Amino acid sequence: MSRKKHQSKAIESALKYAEKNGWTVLDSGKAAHSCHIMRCATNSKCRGGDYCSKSIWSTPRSAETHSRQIKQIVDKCEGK
Amino acid sequence: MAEYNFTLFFDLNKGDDPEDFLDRLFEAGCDDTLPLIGRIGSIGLVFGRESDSADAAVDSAISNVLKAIPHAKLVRAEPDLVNLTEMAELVGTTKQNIRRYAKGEAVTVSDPFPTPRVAGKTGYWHADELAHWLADKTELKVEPDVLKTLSCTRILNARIEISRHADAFSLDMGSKAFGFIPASNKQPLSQTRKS
Repeated sequence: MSRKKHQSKAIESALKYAEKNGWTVLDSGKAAHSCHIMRCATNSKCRGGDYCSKSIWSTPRSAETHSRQIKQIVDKCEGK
Repeated sequence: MAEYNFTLFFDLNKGDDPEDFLDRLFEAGCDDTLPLIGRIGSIGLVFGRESDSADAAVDSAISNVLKAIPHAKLVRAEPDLVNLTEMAELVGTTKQNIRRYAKGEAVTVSDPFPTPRVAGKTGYWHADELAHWLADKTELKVEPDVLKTLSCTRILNARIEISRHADAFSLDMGSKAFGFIPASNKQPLSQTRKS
């Protein structure tokens, strides 16, 4: 794993779940509040555009909600 | 306070990289979102917003985004048009169960299944319409907060469509941002739906 670990255990586990399902998780550098970007394995351009890119906050309001949102996106993914 | 789950899609200026707006969105109160950033000139935000009502959740979400990105134009709210699989997820049941109702195989239900809004191999229904039908006509229990959220997103999309054709209808939508009418001069979303 070449990316940084997320400081929240719940979110880190959601990111690992995404990786297990073929998503790529990268460190992101463009925004101070965004620590990672997750991208779908297939470029189906479904909901999130190119590689269905999503930004992950380093300190979301609720780590629990944020990790659930990540898992839902992975489960709903059409390219799965 | 309940959590309301919905997604809003906004158009940005041509060539805008959505990543450039992330910090402003976070600081404007969108730290309860998952931003969808794979499309230049556009951004999607998956909200998990705690609020007293679905209307307030959606209104505050739009306000937050416009505060962060004043030139953002609301183009779509989800969930609205859904297939049966998506509907099953929304109301917490199985696809097989929804299909049973759709095929008229449920003996306890005599009312006809709603007509799809988009017919075809995969049909699409307004989630609002279908969820209310399921709640009223079947033994399925649908969370009231889910029903309210689905009404909000559907009405919002209708408003967006009307505002796009405002000239044709000679309507003054009262706002530059399509679909967004400041809370001070509009009816609450809840009152727009006939109950």
